Amino acid sequence: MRAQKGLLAALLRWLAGVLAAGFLAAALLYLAPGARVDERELDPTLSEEARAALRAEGAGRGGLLGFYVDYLRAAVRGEFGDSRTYGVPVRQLLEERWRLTASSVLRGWSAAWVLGLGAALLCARWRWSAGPFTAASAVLVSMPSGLLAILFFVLRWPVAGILAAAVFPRVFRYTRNLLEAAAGSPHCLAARARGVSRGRLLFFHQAWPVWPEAVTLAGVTISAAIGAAIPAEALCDVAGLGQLAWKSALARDLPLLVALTLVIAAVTLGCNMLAGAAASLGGERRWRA
Amino acid sequence: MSTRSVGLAGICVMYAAGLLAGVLAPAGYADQDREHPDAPPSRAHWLGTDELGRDRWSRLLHGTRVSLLLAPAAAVVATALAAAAGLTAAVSGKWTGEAMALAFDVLLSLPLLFLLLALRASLPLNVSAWASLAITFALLALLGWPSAARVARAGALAALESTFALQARAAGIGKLRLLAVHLLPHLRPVVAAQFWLLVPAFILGEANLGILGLGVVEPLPSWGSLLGELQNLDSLRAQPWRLAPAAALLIAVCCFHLAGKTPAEEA
Repeated sequence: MRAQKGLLAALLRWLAGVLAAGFLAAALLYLAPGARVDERELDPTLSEEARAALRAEGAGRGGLLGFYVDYLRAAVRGEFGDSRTYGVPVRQLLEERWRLTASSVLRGWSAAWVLGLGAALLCARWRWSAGPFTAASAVLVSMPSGLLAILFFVLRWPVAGILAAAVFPRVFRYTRNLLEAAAGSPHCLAARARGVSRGRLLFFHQAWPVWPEAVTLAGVTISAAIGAAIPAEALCDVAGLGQLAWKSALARDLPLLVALTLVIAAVTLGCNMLAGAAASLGGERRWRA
Repeated sequence: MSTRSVGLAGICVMYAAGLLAGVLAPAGYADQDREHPDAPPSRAHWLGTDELGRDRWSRLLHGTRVSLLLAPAAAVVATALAAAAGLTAAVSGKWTGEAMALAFDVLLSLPLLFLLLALRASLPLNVSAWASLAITFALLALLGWPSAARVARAGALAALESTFALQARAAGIGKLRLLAVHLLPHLRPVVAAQFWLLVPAFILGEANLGILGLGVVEPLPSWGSLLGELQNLDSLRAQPWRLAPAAALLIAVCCFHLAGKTPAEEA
């Protein structure tokens, strides 16, 4: 019952978050200078009354809130308007491109987690091995993802590698800190005093108890991977959502940007919600145990 | 010598180089040597020249000044906004506090680069170099504060439970005084740590915007706009000296990370 309540609260929080992100996006579309100017207004044959009518049509009913409600109603039906840059419905663009981005984000994120967690475990087991990983993490965390994209492109490495390189330092640093903190905890000291083997100590006494925190981080790093996908796809000419975000920003294609904001907010908040729910369930079990 | 001292020394050297760009640079950032466009490194041009014959070393020094002044200035504003928002969320009622926390979460869930792109696109793109500098600065300051605000709120909530805050509230001190006199000084180390985290994040944010062509515009150089020139990928293998801005950025961000370390982290 408690878990169900928690899940419901998390779902409501997700919905509120997506609605808030939608409001921000709609406000952006509504308030941006020149964003709602209709090109038909430039027609010299139109009368002043006709121009005023066009302006009133563009302003929508009931100000920003009315505009938001109208936008939300259309968005629920999957209608996000037409892209000014591509001249096609935004929905069509999103449908065509999401798979490519999802695939590269998932591959890059997974690779970052395998490498980051593996490196953190290695460092926890053999402390002398920490040097190269710490140095690599320090260099990667100090590089903008755009620069990573340029270097990977020059070296002809895959796009997913850029995302992995952008996410790896976060995973490595955080999980390593978690494992180190766990190593100093009383239960680990007690296990060591009882002669538990180092491998067993690492996996069952250090790594296992910290998995809820690691799962929470997994949700957060999805957002980092999506952020890195923008320069990666833009500079490596991959026709995904990241490239779409960049091109729409350059062309001030606000309907497209607003739709992307909604989609990205829904995905990242959803991942955070799932990770948070899994972590809290895991935390409860851990304390019961 | 501690790693924090190394970081601080590195930052001092870079700031000195940036602030003395007018003295150290052999040419202005927009001066053109039309006889030698795209020249390799030489005595006259230490890092060669770009396609317009502008001295790369001079542009790097001037770009260092722009980036190293822009990021901390934006970080100061963002930290102040974060402290104000975090403390307000902590001392306001339950529902207001929760609503503000949700707003922080929503802003944090969206990648900073995407938010920067979206907001930058909503503003006019065809602006002067100095206007683009101001817009980049404002965007970083306006969008970079939620993570720090979340930390400030958590710190303030913890401080509110402490005995000194309880005593102050029992003595009938108003919310504003409680915030300004009791909580804010207590949270100074937390807020300072957030500032040190925001500066490298903003340097990287500006660089990403510049690489994508939405940052500081020509002819004013910044690390971002200089890195944007690397998009001409064909010549990068033949002219590795063009990576000098990347090296400067890498060193600066590393120095800021080292300087932001607490004594406990160093130990």
